[in-house]
Amino acid sequence: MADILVSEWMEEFEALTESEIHTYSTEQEHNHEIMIALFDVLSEPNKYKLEIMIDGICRQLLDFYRSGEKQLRKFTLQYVPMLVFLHFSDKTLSSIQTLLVSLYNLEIIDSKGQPRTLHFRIPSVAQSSIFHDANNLEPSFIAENSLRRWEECNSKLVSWGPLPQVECLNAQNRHRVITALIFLYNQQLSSVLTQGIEYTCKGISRLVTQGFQTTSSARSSVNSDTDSTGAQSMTLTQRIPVTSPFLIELLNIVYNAVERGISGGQQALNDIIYRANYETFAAVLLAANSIKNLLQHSPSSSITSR
Amino acid sequence: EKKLPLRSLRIVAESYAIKGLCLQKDEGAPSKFKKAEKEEEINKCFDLASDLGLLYMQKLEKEQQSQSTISTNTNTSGSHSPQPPGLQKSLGVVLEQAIQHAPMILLQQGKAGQALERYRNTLCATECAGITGIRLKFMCQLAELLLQGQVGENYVSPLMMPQKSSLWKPKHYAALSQFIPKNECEEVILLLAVAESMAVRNAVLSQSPEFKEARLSAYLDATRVYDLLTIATVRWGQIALLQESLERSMKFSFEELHLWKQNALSLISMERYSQAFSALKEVIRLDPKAIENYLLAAKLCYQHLNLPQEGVHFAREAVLRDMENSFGFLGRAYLYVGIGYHLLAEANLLKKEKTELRLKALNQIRSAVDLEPNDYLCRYYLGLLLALTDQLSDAQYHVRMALDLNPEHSATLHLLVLLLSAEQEHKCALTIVDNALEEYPDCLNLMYLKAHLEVHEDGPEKALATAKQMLELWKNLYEGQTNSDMPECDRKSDTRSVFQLYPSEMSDKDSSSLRLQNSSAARVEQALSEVASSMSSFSPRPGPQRAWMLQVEIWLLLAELYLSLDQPGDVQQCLMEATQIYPLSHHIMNMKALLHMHKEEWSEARQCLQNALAINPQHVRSLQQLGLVYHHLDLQGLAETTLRDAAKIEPKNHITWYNLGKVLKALGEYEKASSAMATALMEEKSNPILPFNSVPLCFE
Repeated sequence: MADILVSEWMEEFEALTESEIHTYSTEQEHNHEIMIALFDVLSEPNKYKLEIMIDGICRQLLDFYRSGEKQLRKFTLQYVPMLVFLHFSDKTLSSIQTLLVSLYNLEIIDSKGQPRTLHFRIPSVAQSSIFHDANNLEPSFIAENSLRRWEECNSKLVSWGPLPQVECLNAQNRHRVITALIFLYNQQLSSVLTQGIEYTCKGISRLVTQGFQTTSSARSSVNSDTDSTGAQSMTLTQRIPVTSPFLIELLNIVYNAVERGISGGQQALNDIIYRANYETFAAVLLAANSIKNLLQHSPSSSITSR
Repeated sequence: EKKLPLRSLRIVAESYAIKGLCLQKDEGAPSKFKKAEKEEEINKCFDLASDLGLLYMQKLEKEQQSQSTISTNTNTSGSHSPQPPGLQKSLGVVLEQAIQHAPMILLQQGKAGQALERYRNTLCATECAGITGIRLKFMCQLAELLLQGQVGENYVSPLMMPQKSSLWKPKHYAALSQFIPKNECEEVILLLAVAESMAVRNAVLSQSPEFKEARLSAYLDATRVYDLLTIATVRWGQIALLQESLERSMKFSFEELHLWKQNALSLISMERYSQAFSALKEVIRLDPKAIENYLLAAKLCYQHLNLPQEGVHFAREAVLRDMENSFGFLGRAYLYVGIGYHLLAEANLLKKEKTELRLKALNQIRSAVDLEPNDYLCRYYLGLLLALTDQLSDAQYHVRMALDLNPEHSATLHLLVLLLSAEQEHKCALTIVDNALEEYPDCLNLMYLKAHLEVHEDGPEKALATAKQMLELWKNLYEGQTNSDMPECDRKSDTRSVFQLYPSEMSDKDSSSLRLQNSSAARVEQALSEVASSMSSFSPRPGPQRAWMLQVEIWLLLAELYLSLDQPGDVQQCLMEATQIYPLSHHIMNMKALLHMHKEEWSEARQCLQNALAINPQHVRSLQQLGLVYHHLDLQGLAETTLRDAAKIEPKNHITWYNLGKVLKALGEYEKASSAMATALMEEKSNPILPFNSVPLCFE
């Protein structure tokens, strides 16, 4: 079903003229049916014979991105994780690789064509702020470190970027590029459709558990009906190499998902923790343990029960 | 809005609160429009109730202060036991509920922007007795809200929202140079930092049972702050900030597993390995069942602490624990034990023990491969161990399997190239290196390998080009790091090559070398350079020492190539460059000796070699050269013992045997000489271009 919807959607876009793009874009923003159908197709490449359609889908997503319409740009960006997962599962899909590289190169520059950077200062408790008065602090907080941080507050910024442009993906830059893409996806996570995050979480579970014989569902206590395809398959399936920064970015998606009560989030969290334990990634475990602990001690902590 | 006396202030505030609560209970809203109207009404009531409630508390405190100075002392001095503060009026159930409901309701209505403003209005009001609990809660909630990106594009910096003052608004914080967050990240970290200072103030240190409940609840509040701070900082690589906080938390986290573990993990992430190790041991004591802790400890021991023996101990413990009840880490545990034995074998100098340890390592890694046949890392180590124990064809089989499972693993590619070169398939090896370099254009390790292969295949001119390329690459990769003016805040600096250049035995102060057999030499050099820098004008270059060491390696490679091209002037230049960076390296001394030998200045060469050996008595290359020098100085007996020493350390080195053959010939022992030569010939046939143990130690 979903594949039919998607092909109709592609035909419709092809028939559009320049002038209609704007109205089309506002329409697309609320076209949840298409969005979900596309998620479905991208998450089950075998079921829908994706290789036939993939070139068209990628071309259209890139056209969307480059159309200059904000909504269409967002439309494309919400598929970044799904595309990344597809790329990892089959690196020979050249259209996906091209799309990812193009998105990366376009995303790391700002509207003026300059390399994009994000900065922020690190506040120090030693400096009074709109939320507190430093005079009332305990002496241990006005230690050398916090004073130094105060001094450096305006000069030493935490920053992201500027990142170099890439020509193609190779073993050396693949994880860097993809981590950057997921980071940018995370920047606009709040506007992603709930179902989209659900598909993404399932994708994360598949990605980190592929090639591990012990099914993760047996270990975790949560409902395991989400992931039954990848894990039990033959023993010599390739594992997908992951890096610590990549998993940390994925964790941010998962954190958002569990706090919004999206199904699959909990499973993805457990799967990431298992993988991080297996690979002994300290920083990933640090963040994952925190998320897990937050959930344990305040299950109703999600102030938004949307 | 006019000025109200204290009593009426409370009454007005409470009436608004009650009105709001009542409206909330009233379900009957006929139309959509009516419903929205009612929502507005509720919000307004709660808004006013919150502001007035806070104002009331502030005024109350002021009044009490002026009345008596006794009651104020109790809440400012950070009481570490939950003594009830003297005379204190609380907010009352109704007002408290109203204040807490105000932002919740806005969120439920989907008005995240307004909720943000409500939170801020409450938090900006100066703290007074009685509302500390709410403030702490709100800080966490607001941080959570921002962290989850719920506000998203609706975020407005407090800079853009000027506060209107009115008689009905509580007093806000005001200071001369106030920190006002400009974006979400700044606001989240600020909130959590302030929240932390409050949580620490509330923490209960006493362990006596009567305070148990208070202690636990304060601990839970604090943990929440730390957890949120973790989520906020890890993504940005600001673990230093987190670590400072966690360290403060240790004083009230006695026997608390979660914070101890977080502390250990953050120390590892900050690369403070020895402290991390101590913390991790404590975590293991608190939670002896969790296998991942043993694995983390073992990895620390192998990779950073140079304690393979202890690492093996932890890894074996992991094996035992996983056998008791399976967590799915058994394969990894076996692999870690195997890696530990491998490291011990490399560090061991006695041939018999070395063989035994290698056998043990091999067995462990075989078990790992049996358990997880699709793990490329196990196969890689199996290949390495087989290569080290002269089972080249088996080694190649497993290395190829590893590449099937992960075609892009640079260390495996490295090993494969060495295996091919051991089978004298240099052409094929060179093709593979070239292909691998396409995937890893910045891998100095592979380029070093390529240069050596090129010397063998095409002569030194071609290798020279590669070496020069390496120098250029070094400049691109590391110049930024060594430039001390540059801020090191670039969290994505992946230029830090994870690859190790052979034979990078020198180590940074904080990251000890992976090459164990020479770690003592590195320490000697370190100590000598410290002495040198205090005594003479020599000062180490700024920036990470590892990067500079890589440059030394490249200069030495260039020197070697120039030497084989018979250009002693250039060799001298390269040596000069290397000496300026690190004068006391035994590799540089060895190279100097080679230059002297080239010029047939035997006694100078001897001096240099003896210096090199003083730093690293196990340096086979220096021993080989020294043997030759003695040979030329006609000290044949000394030459023979020196070369026999070299052969003891590395029995498979064909150069040693060849030199020994020469010396024995000069001694007139033709039979022994011919057998030494024969050994040399035989060994050369299966000799890789660089030793097998030059491949990097990797864990992923």
